[in-house]
Amino acid sequence: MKCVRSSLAVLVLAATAGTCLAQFSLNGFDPFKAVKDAGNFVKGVAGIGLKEENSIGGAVAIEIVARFGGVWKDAAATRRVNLIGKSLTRYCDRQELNFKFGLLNSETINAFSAPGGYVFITKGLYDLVGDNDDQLAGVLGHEITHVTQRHALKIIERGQALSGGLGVISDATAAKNNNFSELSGVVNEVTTTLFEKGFDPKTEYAADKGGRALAAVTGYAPGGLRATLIRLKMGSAGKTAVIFPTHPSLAKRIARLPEE
Amino acid sequence: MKKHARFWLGAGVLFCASALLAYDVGDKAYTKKLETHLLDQPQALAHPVAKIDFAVELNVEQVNGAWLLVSAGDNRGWVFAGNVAEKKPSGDHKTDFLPSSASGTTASIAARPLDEVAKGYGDQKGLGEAKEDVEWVERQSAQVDDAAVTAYLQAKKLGEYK
Repeated sequence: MKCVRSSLAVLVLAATAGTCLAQFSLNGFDPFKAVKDAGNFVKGVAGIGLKEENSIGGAVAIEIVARFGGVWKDAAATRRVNLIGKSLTRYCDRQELNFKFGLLNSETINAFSAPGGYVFITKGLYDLVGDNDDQLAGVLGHEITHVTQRHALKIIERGQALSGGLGVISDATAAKNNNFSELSGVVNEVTTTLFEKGFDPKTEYAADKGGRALAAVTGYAPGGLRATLIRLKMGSAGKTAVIFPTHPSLAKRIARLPEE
Repeated sequence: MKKHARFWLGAGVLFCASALLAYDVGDKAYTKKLETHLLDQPQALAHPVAKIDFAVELNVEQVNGAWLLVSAGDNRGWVFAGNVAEKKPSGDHKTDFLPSSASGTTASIAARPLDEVAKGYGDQKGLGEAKEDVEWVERQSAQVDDAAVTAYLQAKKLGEYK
């Protein structure tokens, strides 16, 4: 029985592993390889503390909102996204974070996350999944995993390891004095990845895998994310799906996710 | 027929959840909440028999769907798989939990408003409107507190309330 369970677990993990995807963000850059390449990487994965993470995340959240039409202030829809999102984060691996979920007033189909626990999906994506909680949970789980696995922070840490330190942004007055340029540079690193380059395929696959597992343990159908990717691949009338060229293709991501 | 379909769907989700988590007898798991209660039965509303601190190693003695019978020293009881981690959290993060979370089941719901540095960033960049939008999201999100999430999980029969 133990062998059966183990084998099944291995099969499921193997099918998802190398895999899991994320396509609601973008591509281009391999933080894992970057860390390896950075011989003088001294801060490590946990180099950025929670206070700095919240400062960076808040600033990135402001940039996301500014670029995607502002917040869609539908209280009922926002409450639904927060109920599902916070149900997922109750079981995520970074319980010290305070997650918040919002909707962007954009018809494009996309989702974003920022350090510290900010998660946004566009109105276009919200409409696409409709009343399907499993699909919405799959999308949110993917974005939550980007945060819990510190994907954006790893990019910053890699850049800072190559050029200096991060201490300036822990200063509460950083944004009001000459350290503003330092914070701005850090935020720019993240937004360039989010809006232009995107995370590399490995990172997206990791977010897909983690998001799927998080949705499953919370009790949502594990296939919710895959179903959403299939709907994106099929296209949605009149909507613009934002899928960056270096992203893993939807077909590859769908193929890596188990059917169920 | 419909009832059977619902049963198998539920069983399938439970099976998938346990397979994805991949805990087995003899494995190690780690507490990830500030406080984790071990229960006398594999049910969310069962009686707590022990309270375990953050980032403590647990021995998995038995697996029952998404529930694990675990032990740590003299303490032994059931815990929902979603409430533990496969990798040990850094003990340093214990100080990152908000004080208000000490007596709760989770720290992730507690309010933590938009950071002052981030606010200053928005002002300096001329993104005041976007900053106010983010603060609106913060307020809406804060209304979905720990109790609301628990009620939602119970009503939808999700997580440990399945």
